[in-house]
Amino acid sequence: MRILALMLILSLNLVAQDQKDFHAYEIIIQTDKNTALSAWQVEVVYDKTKTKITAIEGGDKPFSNPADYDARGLTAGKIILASFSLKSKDSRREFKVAKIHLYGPKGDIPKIKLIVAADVKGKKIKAKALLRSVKKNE
Amino acid sequence: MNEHPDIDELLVKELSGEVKSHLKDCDVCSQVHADIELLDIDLKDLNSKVEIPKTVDEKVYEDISYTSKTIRKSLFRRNLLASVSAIAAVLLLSITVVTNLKADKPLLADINGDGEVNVLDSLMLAQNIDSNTPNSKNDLNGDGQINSQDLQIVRDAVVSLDGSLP
Repeated sequence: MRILALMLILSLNLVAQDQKDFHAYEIIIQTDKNTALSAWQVEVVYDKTKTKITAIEGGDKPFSNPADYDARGLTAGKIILASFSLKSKDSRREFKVAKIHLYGPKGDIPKIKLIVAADVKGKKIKAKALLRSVKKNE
Repeated sequence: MNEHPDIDELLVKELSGEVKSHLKDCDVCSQVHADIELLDIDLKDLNSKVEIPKTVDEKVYEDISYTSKTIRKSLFRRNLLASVSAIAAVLLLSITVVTNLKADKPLLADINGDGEVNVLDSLMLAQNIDSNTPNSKNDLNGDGQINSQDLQIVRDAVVSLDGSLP
């Protein structure tokens, strides 16, 4: 009986994963040391047959304005996001630079790749980009 | 015939009647003719007696074969070199054409000149405009001013999916 219940939960979970819904991810840039991040560029890849991007939102200061992107990227399966700031002052190791809203199966998680990140002098810095899932009420 | 015959007349196999009668009277010419006949006999004798040893034959054949092989190898190398050079030239030409095709418009937005168009170019141009130190090369729309319109061109090129300027 328990096994049947477990199987039922698992199948419901799989169905839920495959069901289309609105969901969002924060784009986080993590640097290897405290830095005042002043420019970043990432590439996000997703399954265009199942998912589309519904909106691009800004992140925390100094990247509160929405990042630049090519509108074709909303449905093309790949989008390049980039932003810079001349007001970057605070040195830290983690920056929430944007939020990306999608419509598609929750199980279809996009992939992100950092293209470049730079400090206030425009010098490339070591960093990595990641997507952090956002709960609906956030 | 009072005059001596030419040497050519004595060298022929069949002497003419005049020469024959001259030889009867002229001891000098008669002696020369006798010497010629002797020499002829000696040469015939020599030809019939001389035999080229087999080893010499083989050596000569080897020498000829070696020379022939060397010439063939040299020709092959020359042809190979010519073919490789031709292929390399075609490849180089193709690469140049493709590179030039790729590198026309988007590289206008390469503000920092690192060969790539990315957000660092947007940042540099924005900093130049902000500090009022613009570079005349960065007048991308050609309106004589370097301002936010030029910056927008770079920003669009940075995120463009096909790498082209809008």
